[in-house]
Amino acid sequence: MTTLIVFLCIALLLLIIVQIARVRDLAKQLRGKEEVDASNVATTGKGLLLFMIVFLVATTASAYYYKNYILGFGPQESASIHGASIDTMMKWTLAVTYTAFLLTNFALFYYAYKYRTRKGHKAMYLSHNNTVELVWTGIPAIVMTFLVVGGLDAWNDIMSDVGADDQYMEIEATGYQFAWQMRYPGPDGLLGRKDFRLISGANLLGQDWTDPKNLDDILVNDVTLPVDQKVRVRITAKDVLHDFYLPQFRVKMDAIPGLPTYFVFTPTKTTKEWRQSLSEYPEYQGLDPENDEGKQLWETRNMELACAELCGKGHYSMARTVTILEQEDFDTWYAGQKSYYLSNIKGTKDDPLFMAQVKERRQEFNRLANNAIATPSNDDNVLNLDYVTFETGSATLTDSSEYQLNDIIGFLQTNEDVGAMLMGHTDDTGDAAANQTLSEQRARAVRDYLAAGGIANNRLMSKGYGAERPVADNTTEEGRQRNRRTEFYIIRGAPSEPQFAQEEASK
Amino acid sequence: MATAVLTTAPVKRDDALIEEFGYDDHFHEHHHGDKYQSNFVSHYIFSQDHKMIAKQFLITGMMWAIIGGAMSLVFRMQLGFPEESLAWLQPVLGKWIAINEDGVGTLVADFYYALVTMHGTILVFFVLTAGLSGTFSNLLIPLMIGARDMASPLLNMLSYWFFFISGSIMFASLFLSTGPFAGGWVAYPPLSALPQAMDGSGAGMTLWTISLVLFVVSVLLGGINYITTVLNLRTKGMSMWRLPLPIWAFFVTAILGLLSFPVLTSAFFLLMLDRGIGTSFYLSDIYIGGAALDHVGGSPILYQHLFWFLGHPEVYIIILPAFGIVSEVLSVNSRKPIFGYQAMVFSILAIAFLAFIVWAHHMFMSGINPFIANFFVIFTLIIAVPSAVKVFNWIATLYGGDIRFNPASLFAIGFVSMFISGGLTGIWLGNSALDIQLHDTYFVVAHFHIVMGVAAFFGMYAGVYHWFPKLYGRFMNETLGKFHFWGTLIGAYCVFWPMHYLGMAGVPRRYYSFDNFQTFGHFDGMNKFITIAAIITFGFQLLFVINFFWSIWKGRKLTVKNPYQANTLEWTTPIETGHGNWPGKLPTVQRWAYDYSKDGVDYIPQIQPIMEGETHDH
Repeated sequence: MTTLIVFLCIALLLLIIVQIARVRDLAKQLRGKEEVDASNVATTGKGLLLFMIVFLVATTASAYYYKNYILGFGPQESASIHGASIDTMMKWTLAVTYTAFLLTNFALFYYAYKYRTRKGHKAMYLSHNNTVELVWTGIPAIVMTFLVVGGLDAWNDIMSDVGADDQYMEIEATGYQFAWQMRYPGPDGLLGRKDFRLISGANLLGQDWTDPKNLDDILVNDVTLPVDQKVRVRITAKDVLHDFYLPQFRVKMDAIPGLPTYFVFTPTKTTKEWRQSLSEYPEYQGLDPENDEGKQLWETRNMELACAELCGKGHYSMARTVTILEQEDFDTWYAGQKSYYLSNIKGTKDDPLFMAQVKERRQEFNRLANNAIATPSNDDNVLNLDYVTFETGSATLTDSSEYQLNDIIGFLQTNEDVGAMLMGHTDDTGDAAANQTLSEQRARAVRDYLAAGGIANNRLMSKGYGAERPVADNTTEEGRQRNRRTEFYIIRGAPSEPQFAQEEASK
Repeated sequence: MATAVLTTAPVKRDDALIEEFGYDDHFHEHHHGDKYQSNFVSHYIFSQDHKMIAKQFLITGMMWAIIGGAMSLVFRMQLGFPEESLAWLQPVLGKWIAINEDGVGTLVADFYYALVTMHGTILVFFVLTAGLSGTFSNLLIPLMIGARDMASPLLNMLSYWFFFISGSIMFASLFLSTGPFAGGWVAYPPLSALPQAMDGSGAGMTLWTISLVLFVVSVLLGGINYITTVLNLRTKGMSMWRLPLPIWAFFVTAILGLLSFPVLTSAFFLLMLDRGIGTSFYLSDIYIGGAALDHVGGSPILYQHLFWFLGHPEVYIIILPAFGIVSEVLSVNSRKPIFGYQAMVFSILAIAFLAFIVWAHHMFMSGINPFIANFFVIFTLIIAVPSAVKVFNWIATLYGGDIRFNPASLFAIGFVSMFISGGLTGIWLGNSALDIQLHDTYFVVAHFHIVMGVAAFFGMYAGVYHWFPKLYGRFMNETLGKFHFWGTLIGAYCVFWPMHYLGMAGVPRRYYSFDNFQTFGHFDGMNKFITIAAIITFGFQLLFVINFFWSIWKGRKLTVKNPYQANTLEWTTPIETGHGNWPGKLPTVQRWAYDYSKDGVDYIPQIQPIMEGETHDH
């Protein structure tokens, strides 16, 4: 309804304007052309003059009003070394163009007003003047030269890559739909190789784990940097173009799939100092409505990383915070970060090094198991399952146990006439009865895993021995570790306890 | 004293002059009746008459301007008033308005980007290229150089109809279920190449590309024609140095188009191959939608080079015709010769030449070798020199004049102001060091909207108001025109001036919302202001549309051939200009186009032979 009324109002307004215009045209014909024209010209001329004054005052006043948001001024001073030269260049350019803007707009509207047509007034014939042309070709040319030289000087300085002798830290930023992933080198100071074909749910950047440089690399979401330390950001993208944009640092560079780019800069203000500088301005004083702890706006402001190249429907949402710390604070932060490989990849199926080991172990296991069943029942038929482990103090299998357990399933499926006895052992620490129960549960857990993997129940047996059958010295940690074990006894035919165990039992 | 002789000397009527000095090309012996315009279809639809084709371009361009402008209002409302409900737009936009449980309708991000992309594409190509250059090159080239029509009326007709088909395809893409293309008007791959990257990059992008390739065909057919006509069909006496400035502008524009648009086509063809048959011109090392793609070895930057090789000259393809129109309108209405005619021509030529060697200034931050940027900075900032010369010459044309204020001259003055304001910020952006900060911020949006969007529109309005009597034999309503001017001048500055501050504060363009960032969130009030200003300014353009169509049928009739006492040839044709433009002999040209107020004589038409005792300074 409101919409309809609004539309009707607009239509009515247009109609009124059209009618006024028609009436004025009719009046012109009635009152005689010249009389109307003269007043018309005067009004329009004054209108142009008035517009010029209001326009030039309004643009100047609004620029003054917004000065605290304009980069390079007040709270928006650059937070990097090179940014300061950009800000200086920007101020010079502002001065030059603003002067030209004022003078030319003034001349344009003032002349339009001054030389408006009037009765008895004639135009002068003025077709060209080469001297004048030369002057106003020359002046802009000289000014431009000044700006070009200043600009290029700054540009080449900013864009030059790090030199061989420079002390710097290299980090990597990768854009994807719709976020940024930061990568820091580990203690080796080097970033490892990447290949987009290796990207997966677990390997976010497609790091090649066979490259040792990757093993200590750290993945984090937000940017954290030490102050006054030169940093080279290697900028890449996974899917489409993005742009690594740090407004407070005057850093901007496209992120391109398949073509790494870089930007070198040196932060000059810690986040703390930066916030302190904001606190002086009224725009950043007052409580932050989004903060529950009653902090002031300047206390909760963060420097930010954004995307500045249209990358899809979530382009506007690629926000990360940028934190600049004193060197020692940075070192503390850095020491607290874990290598992505060690905490997420090592020992998983995504770890090619580990998977190579698993393959070797399988071959070794098959060799030993085949040997065992080739001979009738004896001590050699007992295999120690080195890679089947449990959570501390419980009978829950660890994730990494699945590889050897699957090897066993594979072996038992190939050799259908073989029966398996699973034997659990503990060290001698703690209560003997508890040890006994735990060893039974652990042997049972392995048996259940195999049964769940499709091995018939009548081919499987399990038994716990507690701490009764140590294979090493229980007084050392190494020995105790060896004693905590699961054994696998196999013979052709139905499963049974090994001979020596039966003998001991009969004693 | 020569002046005394001249003021009393009778200036012969146009017809008599043409009869006496004209050139008989035996037009009538070849064209009995009007075989080109014998029925409705051949007169109004498949017309081969350049004046009718000009009207077709103009009205189609106006339709597109309304559509493209309305689109900008929709996304501006979302940006300025994200909390206000847009549910009332649902009948038009359907599923692109998402309504939450409180009944508040929001423009969805996909369609926000689709609208931004379509707004850019439509305004740059359909309105400011076809609508501006198409209209005025067609209308004015034959009339101002004294030709019966274009060199090839058939190609001229095809030029319009390719434009029409191109537009129809683009229009159809608005109705796709996945939406029209939404990856920005520059269509950078990989975003534009991969349907998995964005909904609009599927069928929407396919139609977008086909549409623009057809558009290029239209531009090339038109361009070949304009160049040939200017070079070969100038009437007797019309040397190149006597051409009115609009013709110089259209001529150079056509050359620019002819040299640069084919490069865009090749960029699109390679993009189509990447999309369609799995080549890797622009694509490499991409992992998207959970899969690594097979494309290896391409470079997205190659596309950017090819695109901007057109894209930058395109800016001048848009603005040069406006230069020409404004020069003519300012000269006629100041009753003074355009100041520094030769300097104006040379500056057009210089700008056109430089237009081809500055394209990479759009790519300073795109990963090109920083060393290469040096050259592009130098060439780019050199453009400021001929541009400044033009501005000074326009102002000097006003100086000492006897200026008539009508909508055309007001828009021409407004154009100069816009060109100054927008041109000066080009000095910021062309300087690569500053571009690090300003690239892809609202500063860029402010810059190009003022310098080539609003300024080109001002040029177009100046042209339409000025030559409307030539098109329809009637005047547009002057009072409405002045309302339109003031509303547009003030409105456009209110819309785009504040964007400079957004840009200098680092606010990036093409953001659907600023809520995710603290840094960009200070400007809610300003964004509201811009949106309101945009709606009001758009309303003033509707005033123009009403005035235009109303005046076609109801406007004050033209009673004399030459209502503005102008010198150029188009005002020597009959009020109802028929096919072939001049009923009898072709006029011959005796002088340049700008003898205003010379020796005390208000104006001396180009067909007037040099008189005895005339000063000779040109």
